[in-house]
Amino acid sequence: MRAVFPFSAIVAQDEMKQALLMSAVDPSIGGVWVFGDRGTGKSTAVRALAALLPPMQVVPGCPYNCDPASDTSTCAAACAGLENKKNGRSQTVPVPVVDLPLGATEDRVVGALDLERALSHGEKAFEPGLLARAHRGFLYIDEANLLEDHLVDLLLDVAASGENVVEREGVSIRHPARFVLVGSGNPEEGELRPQLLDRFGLSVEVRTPSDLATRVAVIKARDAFDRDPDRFVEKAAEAEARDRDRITAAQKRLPTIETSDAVIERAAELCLAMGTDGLRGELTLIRAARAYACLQGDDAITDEHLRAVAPSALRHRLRRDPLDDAGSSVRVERGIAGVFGA
Amino acid sequence: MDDRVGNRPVGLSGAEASTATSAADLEDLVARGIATWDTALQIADVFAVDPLGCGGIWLQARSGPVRDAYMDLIRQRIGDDVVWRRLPAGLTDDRLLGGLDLTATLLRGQPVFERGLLSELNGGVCVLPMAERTDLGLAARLAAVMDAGAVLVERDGFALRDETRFGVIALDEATDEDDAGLPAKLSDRLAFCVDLSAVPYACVRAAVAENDDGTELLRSSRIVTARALLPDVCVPDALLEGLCEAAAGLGVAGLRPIQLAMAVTRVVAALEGRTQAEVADAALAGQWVFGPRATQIPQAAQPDDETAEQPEPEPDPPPPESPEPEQPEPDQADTEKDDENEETRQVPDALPEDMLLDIIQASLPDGLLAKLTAQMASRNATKTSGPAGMRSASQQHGRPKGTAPGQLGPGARLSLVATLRAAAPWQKLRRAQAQAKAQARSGGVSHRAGPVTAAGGDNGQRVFVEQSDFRIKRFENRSESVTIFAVDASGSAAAQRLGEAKGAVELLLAECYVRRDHVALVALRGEKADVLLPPTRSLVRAKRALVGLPGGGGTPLADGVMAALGLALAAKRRGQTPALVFLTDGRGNVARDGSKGREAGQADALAAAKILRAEGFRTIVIDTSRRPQSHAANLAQAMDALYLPLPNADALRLSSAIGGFVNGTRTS
Repeated sequence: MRAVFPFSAIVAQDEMKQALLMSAVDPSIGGVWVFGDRGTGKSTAVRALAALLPPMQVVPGCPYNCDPASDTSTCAAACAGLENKKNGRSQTVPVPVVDLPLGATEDRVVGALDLERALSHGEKAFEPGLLARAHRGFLYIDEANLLEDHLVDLLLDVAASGENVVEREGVSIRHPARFVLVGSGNPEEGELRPQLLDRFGLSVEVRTPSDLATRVAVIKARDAFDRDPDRFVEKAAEAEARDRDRITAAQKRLPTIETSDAVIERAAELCLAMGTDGLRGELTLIRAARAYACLQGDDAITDEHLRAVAPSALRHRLRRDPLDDAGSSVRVERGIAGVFGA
Repeated sequence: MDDRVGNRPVGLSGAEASTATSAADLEDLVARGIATWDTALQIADVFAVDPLGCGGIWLQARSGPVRDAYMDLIRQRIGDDVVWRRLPAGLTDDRLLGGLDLTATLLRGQPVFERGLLSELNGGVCVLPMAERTDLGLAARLAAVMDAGAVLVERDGFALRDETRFGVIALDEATDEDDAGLPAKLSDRLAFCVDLSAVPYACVRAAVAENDDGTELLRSSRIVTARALLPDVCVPDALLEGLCEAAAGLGVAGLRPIQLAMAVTRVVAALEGRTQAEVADAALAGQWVFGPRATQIPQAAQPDDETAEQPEPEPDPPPPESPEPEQPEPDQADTEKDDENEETRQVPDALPEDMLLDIIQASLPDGLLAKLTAQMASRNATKTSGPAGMRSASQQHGRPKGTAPGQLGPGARLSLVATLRAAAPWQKLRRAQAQAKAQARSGGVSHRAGPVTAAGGDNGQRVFVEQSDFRIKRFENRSESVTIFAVDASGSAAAQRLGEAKGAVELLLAECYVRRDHVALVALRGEKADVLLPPTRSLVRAKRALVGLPGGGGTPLADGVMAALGLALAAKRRGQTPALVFLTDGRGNVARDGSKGREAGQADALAAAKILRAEGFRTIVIDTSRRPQSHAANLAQAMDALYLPLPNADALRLSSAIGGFVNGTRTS
């Protein structure tokens, strides 16, 4: 197992880290789209997430990561019938963070007949793909804007329905596939299709840190890690544990946190001021604010929370205004200042 | 054409050579060539020590003896035991990343994985020919593998991680007309950029001769020693900070170059036989890695002496405030380094501020300042490194771009091998199924939609191919273009001129028709701009809309620009390449909000023009005023557009000028 750069040791890029943590607390926020400069540690952050997240419980032996506490009667592997499920046994596994590499073929993404068994035994057996592996976890697409169109279509469908329906090679299977979609890319190399962009709850823009001290800190950390990964990971262990506890606590707090009508009105007001399309903006805004408040350890959502998450939740939902040459980040800031006062 | 150039001595066919008229110029050219070549050799040493850590070399040179000599030298220095592979053009994902081995799978009756080229490259050097044509997909795949240190395979039923690390030499033969170039995501990961395009072969001959007398052997042993030393080399924090500072000062984007410079610093130190890097090592690394990436001149910069000798003097940067050391020639880097050694044997805890930056800056090659100034002037013109939105997938023509599952139908071309590959794993299974079916309904003909088979059972059938196996060839081609005409039909554009403008547009329409371009028409008239005709290929509709266009009213120029821009953006999203043609006198007198007023109208128009400019579309402004004045020219300038006054009664000449421009051969 190769050592992974620890999440807690990532210097700067606070908005991206925050967005990923919020998604971990409440997956229903709907994923994160990370865009911006090259070499800003986009991939590093996502891959680091796997090691950070608190582990989850699954039915042992179930290829679809079924939750033992939930109703698994719809599981494609029929894990409800497995001995383990009946005995109430469960297994602790890390939350999956699955990479969807460029050049992946459709059969590996959705799943297909098991080649090995088909060839050597002449048996028809379904081999789950990346979507199954990512269930209850994260699916990461680097360079999402360069992804093949037919794969994008497929992902759009699954991300919307939370279910993967496979009808190919004579196999007919459906299984739950609910995951947090994390995509990264550089819009200069081709824009993300608007439909896919819309699937992402949050969008964050990453920039190369501009001040020298931060740059030096980033390079130093990276250099220290490259020279002795194990020691570096060990040194960051304490901070990792702290962040992990924070996520666990926030996840516990989430169902009980208070969302007042005033806050919902405020969110609506903000979306109206920005001219975002549809209700998705408001919904995401509130969910994100809730997750953020939980991470902060607060008991109720306030304007402050809304304000903190509004840029990530609304940035990619602004209608294009070609006459306004300011970046979307600036426009969101302006809108926030308009509603909340500067 | 490339071949033709390749057979001639490259240096003398370069742009600089053609201007070298006098003997003095020629001498100068040779001197520069030798300097460049020497630096290139030093870089070859460093790359040979640690190809993986340095990422690679972006080698700019036409195919020819100079490049060949350089590649040979690198290869010798790296050694025979290191894998050295050339990526063939048109490589498919199967070969690049790995996939199902068709023959072995059929033979053995079990899935056999065939490793891709990138996996085979492990520990070696990947040569990327025709790098200027590298498409974004390949660049992204290479970059992902370089970052992960492994190929992540999720293909053809295989899910595995194949560890591989390699260095890249990108052979870039781009000429000025080539707009694409090496995708930035790849060049960002290569430490070095070596430009041999202006090196005459004469400079290289000596090196090739030297090669025969055993000097190379000596070098090789030095490289082996450095490799052994490399893991122990450490870079003091002061140098790290200095490099960060230098990168910031030179406006080097991103953090990866700094990491690369660190790696290079280590190698340089190792080559010098040191286990602790010194200022000189970092300076050399900074010069090589940051130099070609510099986008700005550090604040207290001294104008380069050499720039004064450039044929076109560039506007000077802010006057110098501090005296700088004498500008050293690049080929003196060695001697300079030695001087440094005496002074800075021990790296102090913190370097004097900007020390490294100053050293690096002083050693940057001549002409760079001029280049930077020119670059800064054109900074606003959007330069994306890969025109992803400008390409479209097509099923019928263009460059082949792999295969995808699909249906047979008109226009689709079946890829036989890919289809067989898809069908191969299932043969045993399908045979068994077919037999079972034949037994169950003995004599009955199979009604399954799937099998493409003459017989129902397996009697005589060799291969079972089903519809889901079909793989369709995909191609990529340059997308169709959309020409958007914005015609000023206001009262200020006199009726007579409007007629001429219409005539010009009609001629252009005919040309667009020949090229099967789409056209769209926006009219500027009254209080706002109307899209008379959304993009269409129908010449008839376009003509009708144009003829029926009455003149008169105000000039909503700003609105017109925005309307045209909106159409252009929509076209871009559809994967088309838009071009804009404005026919106007440039005297806007209606503001964006519809209110009248020359001042507001003009200001809004110029603001809109700037937004249009940021998009970088091909744009042309045709001045329709009777006596061309500055208005339309200003507008053209704000748009970074080509400006053409409408010549009197010479629509033909105009249309040929525009035609060339829209086609992409800019003639101004």
